Amino acid sequence: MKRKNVVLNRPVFAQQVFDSRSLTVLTTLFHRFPEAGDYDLTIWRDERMVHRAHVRVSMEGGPLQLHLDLAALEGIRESYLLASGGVIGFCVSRGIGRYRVEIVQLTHQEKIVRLDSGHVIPEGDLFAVTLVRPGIYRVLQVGGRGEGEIHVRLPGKERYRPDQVTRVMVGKEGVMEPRVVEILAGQSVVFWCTIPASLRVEWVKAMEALEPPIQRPQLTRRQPRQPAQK
Amino acid sequence: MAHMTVAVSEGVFRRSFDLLQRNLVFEKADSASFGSFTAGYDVKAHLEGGSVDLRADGTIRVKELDLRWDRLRFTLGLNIPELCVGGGCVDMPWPIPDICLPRVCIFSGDPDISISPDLVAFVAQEVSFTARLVVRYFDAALPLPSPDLCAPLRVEPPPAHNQWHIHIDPETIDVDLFDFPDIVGDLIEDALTDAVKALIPGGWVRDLILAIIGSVADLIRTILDIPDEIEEWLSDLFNVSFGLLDSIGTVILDFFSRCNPLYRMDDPLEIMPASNGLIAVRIPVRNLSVSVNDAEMVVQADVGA
Amino acid sequence: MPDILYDLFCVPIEVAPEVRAAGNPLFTEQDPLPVFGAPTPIGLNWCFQITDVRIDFHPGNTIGLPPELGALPEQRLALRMKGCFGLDCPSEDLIRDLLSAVEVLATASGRQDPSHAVTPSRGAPPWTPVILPTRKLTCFCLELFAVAHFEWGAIGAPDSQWLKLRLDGLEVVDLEPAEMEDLVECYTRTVLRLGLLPRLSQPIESMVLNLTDLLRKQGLTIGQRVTLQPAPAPAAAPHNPAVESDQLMAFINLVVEEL
Repeated sequence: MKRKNVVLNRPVFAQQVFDSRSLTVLTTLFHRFPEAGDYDLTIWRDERMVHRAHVRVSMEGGPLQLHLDLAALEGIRESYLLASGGVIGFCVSRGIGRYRVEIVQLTHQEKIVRLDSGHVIPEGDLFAVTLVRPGIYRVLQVGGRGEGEIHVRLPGKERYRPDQVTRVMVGKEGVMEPRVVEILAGQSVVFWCTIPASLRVEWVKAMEALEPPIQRPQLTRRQPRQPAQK
Repeated sequence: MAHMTVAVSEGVFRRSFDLLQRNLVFEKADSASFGSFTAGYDVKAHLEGGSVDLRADGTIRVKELDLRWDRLRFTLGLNIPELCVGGGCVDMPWPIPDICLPRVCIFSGDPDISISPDLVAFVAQEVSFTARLVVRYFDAALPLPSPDLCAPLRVEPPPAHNQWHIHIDPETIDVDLFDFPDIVGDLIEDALTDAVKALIPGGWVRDLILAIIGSVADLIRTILDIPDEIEEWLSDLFNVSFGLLDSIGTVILDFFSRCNPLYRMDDPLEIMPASNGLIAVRIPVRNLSVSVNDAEMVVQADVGA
Repeated sequence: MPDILYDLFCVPIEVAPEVRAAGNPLFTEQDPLPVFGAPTPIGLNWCFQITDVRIDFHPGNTIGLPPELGALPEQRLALRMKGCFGLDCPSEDLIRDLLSAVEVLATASGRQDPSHAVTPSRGAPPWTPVILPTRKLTCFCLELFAVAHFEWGAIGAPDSQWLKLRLDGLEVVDLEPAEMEDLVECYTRTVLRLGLLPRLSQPIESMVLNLTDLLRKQGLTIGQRVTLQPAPAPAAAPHNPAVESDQLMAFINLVVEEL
């Protein structure tokens, strides 16, 4: 028996933490461009700029959706064309780099930062994670009160398709709807941020059995304990 | 009346045939690409048994010769298609366009697997043919043909002097089709499954990948593009795509008809050996002919001037 | 051999080119015919040839046998041949040339002076004969008729099988006196039986035109010895070998032994 060497895309299986502030394999950030105009796009990898481009958003036509593989970008590119109202999805196909996306709108008078993914996902944008490792994941709104849960199960006998996507809305005060999501390994969850937010998804533990939704106290930002008032 | 006649009984003829056919070895290896997979074979066989019947119409009927496989190795190479997670699209309310996620592929490189099971134990075939006897004159002065197709099939080296050769010339050759039993399908499926599993580390990673693949059997069927059982597909491959039946037939034809006479006679023929320094006494043989009836083979010849 | 000598035979010999090419002799040299009474050995060249042999298998329809041999019996073949004898008869000149020396030798006694002694002393080897030079042979040929049959037998190794030709009867036609005819027949019979016919024995393989040669070779490679044996008569065939219908027929079995 002979076999050619197989190179598994390791991060796909190894990653346990996904953060919108630093994009990695299995995460995708979608930014909407509701306004026509000219934009500057800058991509940073591990704090080093790796790509710059111009984005022209046009009323007259162009694709409604673009995908940019941040791991495959090189140098400077002239420009991208997008239809007004369209979306650019920023994803990472391989590697262990951590990426940040900056989009600046160029008007006659000023430059407006529309997106700095290292800080926050602006309202209207989406953050997607594809979860491969089975188990229970906790979803946190960084710097906020929102939290959720994702249960990832290995597919059993059922007909399995990795391309099923579940949408979670991140709403006022970070409330996630639905709060608990059940998916099969390899499928994806898309968080639609209706408020500016930063999201963090982390693997908590393996799933031993099907558990009822966990009753937890509301998670708050950790504050240093105040000494007891005398 | 011919000057010389030799009549050989059916029994002797059978024995002559039996001794000759033991030397026939069929050996071939080849592979071909079928797009998503490559398939090949490495085979070796010989003949055993069979019955030989001389018939009143001048033909010889050879029946139920066992084609015994010494090696029947089948090689199958599959290219594992890209396996990816993610992807898919999600509906968004207007005016937001539907969002489509990219797929992330879990292998890089282009993995393929290969198996080479030996199917010797699973196939038994028979060969039958009808033949006539033909006489050929071997002129030692003429060079052998180039390329010499008989070189791998010849049992005896070509003679150094002229000879009359009596060959069996098969007219129709029947070779049983390859018909692999169910168990071969299982064998191949198991071998492929093991090969796929060997490719992937164990644990939940493998479980997930296998889940993505579906059953290995389905993957195999998809790659091979076969609707039916693997063993039926394999039989077709051997019978049709590989053209092995034709190859076997050709080797049998060449072996008997072209490369190896059943009987041979020197020309001139020695009738008294050399002795005491005197050369042997030889007579030239002319007009050699052979015929067959249901009891014997009859060879006739004249003494030349 | 110089060509001139070929012309001295009673009957010219048609030589196959292979024989010439191999340098094989055309005749067997024998001692010369001694001149009886010669005081010193004198030899005459001579030649004996059997030629023009014809064969007629039973039923006899091309050779008419003389009445002494009767009708050709079943399973027999008739033979007709010529036996020729030639002698180099010395010419008058030659004899005259030799006579004086011979007379000396014939009358030699102790009265000869030692310088002329011609008798070899007791114990010394005999002198080699003087062979008179041959210029031509004087030949005569006799017609010979014979009846013969074939039989199987061993030659040398006890399990060998050969087809042998055996003489049953011989007749020289009309030689007188009868005793001389008998003598000549006896001599010819002896020449045939001890000289010619044994050389004509055929190994059994040649009776099947060596067709089984390949079979034997291939048998050996799988540990089998393949031999030929005459089929037993009358069990397998009424006569073996059979001489009938103008043919010689041999019935042979293939015998296979595991080694």
